[in-house]
Amino acid sequence: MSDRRFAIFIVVSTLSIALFVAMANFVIDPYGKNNIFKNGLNEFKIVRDERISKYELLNSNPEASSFIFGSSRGLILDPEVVEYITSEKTLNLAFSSATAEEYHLYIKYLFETRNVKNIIIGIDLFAYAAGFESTGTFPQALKDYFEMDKEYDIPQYLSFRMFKRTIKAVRYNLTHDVPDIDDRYTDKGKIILSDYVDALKDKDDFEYYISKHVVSRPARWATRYDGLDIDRLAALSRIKQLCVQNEANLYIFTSPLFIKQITMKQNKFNLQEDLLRYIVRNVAPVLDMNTIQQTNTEPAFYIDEFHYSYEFANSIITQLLTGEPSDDKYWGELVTKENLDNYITQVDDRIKKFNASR
Amino acid sequence: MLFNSFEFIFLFLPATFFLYYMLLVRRLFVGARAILIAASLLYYAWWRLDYLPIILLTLLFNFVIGTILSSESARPAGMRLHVLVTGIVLNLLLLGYYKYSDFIIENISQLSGADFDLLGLTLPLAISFFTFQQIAYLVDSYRGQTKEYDFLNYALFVTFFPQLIAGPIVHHKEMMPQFESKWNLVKRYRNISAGLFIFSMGLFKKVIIADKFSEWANLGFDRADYLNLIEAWATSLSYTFQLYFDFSGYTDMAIGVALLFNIKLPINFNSPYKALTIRDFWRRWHITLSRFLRDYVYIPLGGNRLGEFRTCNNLMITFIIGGLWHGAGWTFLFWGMLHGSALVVHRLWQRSGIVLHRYLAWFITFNFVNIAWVFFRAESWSDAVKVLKGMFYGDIILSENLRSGFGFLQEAGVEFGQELFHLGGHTTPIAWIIAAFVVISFKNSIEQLGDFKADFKHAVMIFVLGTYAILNMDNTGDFLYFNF
Repeated sequence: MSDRRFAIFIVVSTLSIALFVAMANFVIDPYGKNNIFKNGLNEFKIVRDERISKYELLNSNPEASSFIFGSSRGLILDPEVVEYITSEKTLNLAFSSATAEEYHLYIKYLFETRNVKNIIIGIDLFAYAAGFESTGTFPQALKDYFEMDKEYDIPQYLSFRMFKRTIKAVRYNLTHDVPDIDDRYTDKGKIILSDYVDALKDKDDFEYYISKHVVSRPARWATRYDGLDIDRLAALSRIKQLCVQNEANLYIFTSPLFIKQITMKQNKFNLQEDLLRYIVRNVAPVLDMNTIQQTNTEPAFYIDEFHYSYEFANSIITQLLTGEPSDDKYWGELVTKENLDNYITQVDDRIKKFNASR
Repeated sequence: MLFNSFEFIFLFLPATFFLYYMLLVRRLFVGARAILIAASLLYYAWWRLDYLPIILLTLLFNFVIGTILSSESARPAGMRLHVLVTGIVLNLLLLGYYKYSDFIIENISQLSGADFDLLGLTLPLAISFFTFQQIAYLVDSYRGQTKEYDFLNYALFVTFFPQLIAGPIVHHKEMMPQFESKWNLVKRYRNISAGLFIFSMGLFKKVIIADKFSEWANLGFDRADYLNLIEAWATSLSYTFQLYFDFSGYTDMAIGVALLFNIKLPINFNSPYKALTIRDFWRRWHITLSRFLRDYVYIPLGGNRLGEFRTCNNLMITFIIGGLWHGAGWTFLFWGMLHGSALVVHRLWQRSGIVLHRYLAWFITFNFVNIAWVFFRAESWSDAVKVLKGMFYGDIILSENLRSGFGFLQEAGVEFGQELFHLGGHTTPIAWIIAAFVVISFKNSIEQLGDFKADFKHAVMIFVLGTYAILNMDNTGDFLYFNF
């Protein structure tokens, strides 16, 4: 083979394959990034981002008027508990690694398209942290609604990883019917819940589960940065304004953190306290679950190193909506402008005492 | 715009290539060089436009100083020395201002107890590389070793985009003649096919191998507090291989891209992890930096000509400077000291006349390098200590699968469980590390480039490696040496 032929062969063959993969990914669109081509090969997105699932969920429940937002921690909250207390049809619209600006857009959409009664937000630091990047795929239909740019970013389709999903999506659509949308837990959430419920059946199994998933796992903060993002804080303020303008209730709580995360060396808990200060002073009172009492130190209150348990979630919702938890052991503190400084001093003292006692 | 980015591979490189050869075909040689310079400046400005004036100013400044130093009118020795010293000092001041200000301020604050504000300057891209290149040019101009180069060639020597961002640190003697050579002004398919070959190899090394190791290295260093013995070794070895495949992959790509323009860049790596001594390692690792430090720091300090004590001293100083060149931090300085000390020990050992078995020599050298990289990678002194603590005092946790056969080890304190829990829980890192040891025992990419033939076997190999790497670029990271 001559050098000329060799060079041409390499360039042409590589380009051809790359173009084929990009075209297939673009047309099948397995993540639902562009929503341009809809046909029998790609109707059901096999790897649906929770953001997309939740958008589909809210559109398939037009009567719902109460909504839960937050990250994967918020996914644990059971909408049926809210329904039981408020008698309003409730949807859990939380999605993993949610940022404030993302759920602001969902909330804005909700207020523009239906009558909203209650908004519940579980606060996580990373959702307001500077530098934290959401890795999720925002639904194109919602982008279209807000006339945001379409994702014509072609290089993202030059992906072998996406191509594997494309093949999977085509195979799934050719062999299965489009499944119904579950309005309680996502597919991933169902697996976690089922493992947890299985473990609960036996005391030893449960202890092993907690030891494996909570105690022995390393703590870490989802963000590496040291500041709050002004735009994200402003998004929360806009959510508050929307609620006030539309006479809807806004309930905010901070997700409980396991003590290992609070006391780890490279800790961001001071930043979490800054966030609490900001929200209480500028947005609304907050039900803070990081009181550094049993709620944070008891491993059995968590399902893994990041996520609180289902019972805990039910209690948070109950305290948030009624003022009293469903179980006193899950007590959180309602932080208002009046008790804010005193409360944070108490929390800091408890952290010091906890560290000293270790 | 990285070499492993879509915009580089599908837009910037083809556009520059076709424009360059289009001008050459029309015999517009000056225009073709100007296009390469413009493309290089565009490549540089792609990250941040405000970086551009810095490189342009240093380019002009050093060309003027170099011209004065090499011109007849500057013959009085005293004046030339003053000009040279001024040139070097101003180059170092610029580098120092951007790279070391905050480090110095931070340490003064700590020593004095005062709380001085940090400048928070962003390091201009590649400043360490182009500063060293231009200092070498000034020194050689002073020594009378440079010709009266024209400005376009000088600008191309400094900015030539394949080597601009992360080296190799090129020397004017090896670049200028190539820019001036008429033989290089025609399309040479031999170079183009060889360039595509080595570029694809480099891309594969970076995207598929280095980025895989980076996942485990990052997880391990982020969770330094918790690492058991196996995890700590997997972390340090992952970084050791990440750094090699990342940087040598980058250099391969740089060599490949330069070959598309008929320019041969110097090699930067020659299977460094096969080294049998630390001296051997530095002849194989980042060869162009070692060459710079030898020619412009070690030898001017006196090299090995002033007795054993001064030689050892010079080695230490050279490697401390080498450490600090990589970054403004105590861990980098310590890493440099470790290597300087190892070279001193090696020198003294040689005098004893004892020769180690080659496998033992390799084992000691590799492990020393691996341990020293922990300081190079760690974000703080305490993180480095934590990883090292895990490597030597961490709990021994073996795979649950081994319990049935090795359960008796429990009495010796060995535990069974998920041995790589903190690195993701899978045993893949171990398989990759073993594979990496095998891979580095083969011929390296530069040796393979020497054997390269444009045949069917190579075509298929490059097509598979290149295409697979391109289709995995959607999840790739920066090159490590961009930080330096």
